[in-house]
Amino acid sequence: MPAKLKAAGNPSKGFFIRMITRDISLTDCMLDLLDNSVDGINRLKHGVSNGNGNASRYTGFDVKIKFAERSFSISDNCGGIPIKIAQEYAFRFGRPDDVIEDSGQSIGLYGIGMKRAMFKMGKGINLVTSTGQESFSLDIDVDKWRDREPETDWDFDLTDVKRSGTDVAAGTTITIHKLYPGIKRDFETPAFAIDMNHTVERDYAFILQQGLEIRVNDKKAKPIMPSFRESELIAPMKITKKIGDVNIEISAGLATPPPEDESSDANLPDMDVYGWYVVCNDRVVVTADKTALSGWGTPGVGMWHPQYYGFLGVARFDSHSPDLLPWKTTKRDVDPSSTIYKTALLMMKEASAKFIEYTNKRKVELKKAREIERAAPTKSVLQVARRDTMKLPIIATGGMTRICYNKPTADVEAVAKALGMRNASPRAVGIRTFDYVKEKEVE
Amino acid sequence: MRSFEAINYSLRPNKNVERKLIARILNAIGKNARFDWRDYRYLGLGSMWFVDFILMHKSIGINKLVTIEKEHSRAKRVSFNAPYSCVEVKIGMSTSVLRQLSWENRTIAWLDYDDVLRSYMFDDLNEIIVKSTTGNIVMVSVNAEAAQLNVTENDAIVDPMTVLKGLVNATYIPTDADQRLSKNQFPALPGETMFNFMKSSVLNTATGLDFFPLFNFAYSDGSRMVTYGGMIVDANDEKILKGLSLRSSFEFVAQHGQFEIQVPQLTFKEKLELDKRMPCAVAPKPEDLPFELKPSEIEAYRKFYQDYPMYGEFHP
Repeated sequence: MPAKLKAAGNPSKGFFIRMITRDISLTDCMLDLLDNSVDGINRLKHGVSNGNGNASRYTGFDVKIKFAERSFSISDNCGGIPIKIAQEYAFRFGRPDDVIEDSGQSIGLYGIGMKRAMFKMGKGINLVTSTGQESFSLDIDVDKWRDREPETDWDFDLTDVKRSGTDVAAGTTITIHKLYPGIKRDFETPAFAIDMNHTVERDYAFILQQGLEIRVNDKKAKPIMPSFRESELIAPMKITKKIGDVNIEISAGLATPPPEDESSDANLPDMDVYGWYVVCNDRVVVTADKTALSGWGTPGVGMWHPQYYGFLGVARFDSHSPDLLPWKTTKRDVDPSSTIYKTALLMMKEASAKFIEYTNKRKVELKKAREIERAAPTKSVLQVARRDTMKLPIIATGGMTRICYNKPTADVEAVAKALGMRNASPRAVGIRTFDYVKEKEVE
Repeated sequence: MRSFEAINYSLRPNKNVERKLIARILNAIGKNARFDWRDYRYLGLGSMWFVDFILMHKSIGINKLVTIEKEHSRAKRVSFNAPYSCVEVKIGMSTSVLRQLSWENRTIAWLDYDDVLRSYMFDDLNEIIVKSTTGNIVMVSVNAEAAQLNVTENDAIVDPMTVLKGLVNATYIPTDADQRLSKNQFPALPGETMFNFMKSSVLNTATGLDFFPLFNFAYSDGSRMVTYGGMIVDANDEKILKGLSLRSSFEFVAQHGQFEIQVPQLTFKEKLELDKRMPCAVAPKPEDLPFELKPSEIEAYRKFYQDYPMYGEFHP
């Protein structure tokens, strides 16, 4: 009987190194490593987040991220990788199907993040990890590993293996050197470091709030929590729903009083704060979205406009089974085809529409609206009370006319100066000129 | 500031010293044949006075100078006051003029704004940086009074960080900026922000180029001002600059912190009295002088007396 002919179907290591690193940004890779640290804590705790910002869940744990021209490192005290897990799947490309979910509310999903991050950055990788009892190291020379024969040998060698009584402190440290030129350049760029810091403060806000300490190049990250104005007269909505094993919580309302001048060329700082946030297992995956992804510009809701400045919405999804959550592999995007997300989106759109209606109405009694908005204290999304619909100031419509016009910038500045209104918005200048004429010329 | 210290405001001795310190650094760099300033173009905002233009032509040797003037109504006056035939006047908003300029010559650009921080300044700088080749120098001067962030809207005080973020993309603002908004701490912020902006823009624009800081001055002739700048370099030019060890000869070359120029406002008689004691390794003590000055003022004068300007009225 003739031997069966076979066509080789196994992947090449070089292909993997090139491809898995291609569609993800450097920042997201770094955040993947941070996710691993958080999962380490969850593995230790075997607990469940109560979703209310339990201030102690991550207390006592810290992660230090450092990067510079020559190297990157991330170092945590979050439990380390047990030898058994390392042997069986931690370093495999993709998590095998039979791995039992061991980490409570995991944010690691596909078993790809760590390898992808390491291969993205450089050619020299060193990992030291300890559970407090057992420890090992792992060194990867990426070129050697790629060229090693046979091609089907994808394993990594564990070294310095201690099966008990290790003196390495519990935690994991990953160091990457021989950085690729593009990565080196990013690490040297001041704006990259500032953005990274900001991203951690925003995307890990819910996790930082629960006690985790993260330092980026020695600077301690402070959570930037989505917050709302809440008082007797104005308050966000906050509703919850459970679909299968997924808990959904949607909050939406006013974060900041809308601007004086909402024209398209107005100078509106912090515009990137407003819009919809999507949070999966405490990890912020979409920030300040103003696109169709969160319903803007789809039937029933207008396109985002600077007039809606000040609007904030937070859609949270929590589950013990992370694969049920509507996130994509990079954890920086939502899968709009997810049925869970589609259900949530209906509620989100309703909230946006209600807010839009309010921003139109409030112009009629701007002064009253502004006073109510300003007087309301700011509360984090975790603190605001449950409420089925947004509470908004009641505006009596009628008897008012809106005036809107364009004038040369230089003239507006000159008029502002003459009125002693340096740094004032054009809108305020316009109103003042009207009042001025009324005061001087109208009986 | 006490009023008698402000009398000389329009004469700006600190600004004058700053220009001369910049010239000293440029002359030190120019000793290397790679940076022959005679082949360069100077790009500035000369206004009516052209003080920096005269310096760049006379002390640095630049023969091609371009001034940008935004006021159309002053076009004739600016041209009339241009001190040399090699000064070309371009009328228009800096951002649009910069976009139309040719960039054949290596350039020293100094955007000497007397304005507070404005977002258009970063557009201007970016326009220069993206067009730059190795060897170009870019500098910016801007008002650094913390009070520029005090804005009220409808009787409510706007958070100063919100104001700052409206002027500068948050990506370039140091992460601890919110802790540094006091009158005395603030001037360092525009310096660092400019560094973050220039370095990031260079690294993001062209591979093979980097940013080499040279100037980071703070000074006050009534209003606090900051001048920040440096050279855009490839690996070779960076090596040359490092080889010059500017820092060992000039303590005021930008490195980590900001260098404060704070020479006192002196009368002619006071200057002559101090000059009699110069040069000296240690500054005279205040009690040894026949008039009152702070130790910091005397020390600043000791350092820069050779650059200290004297003004007088004359009748042509």
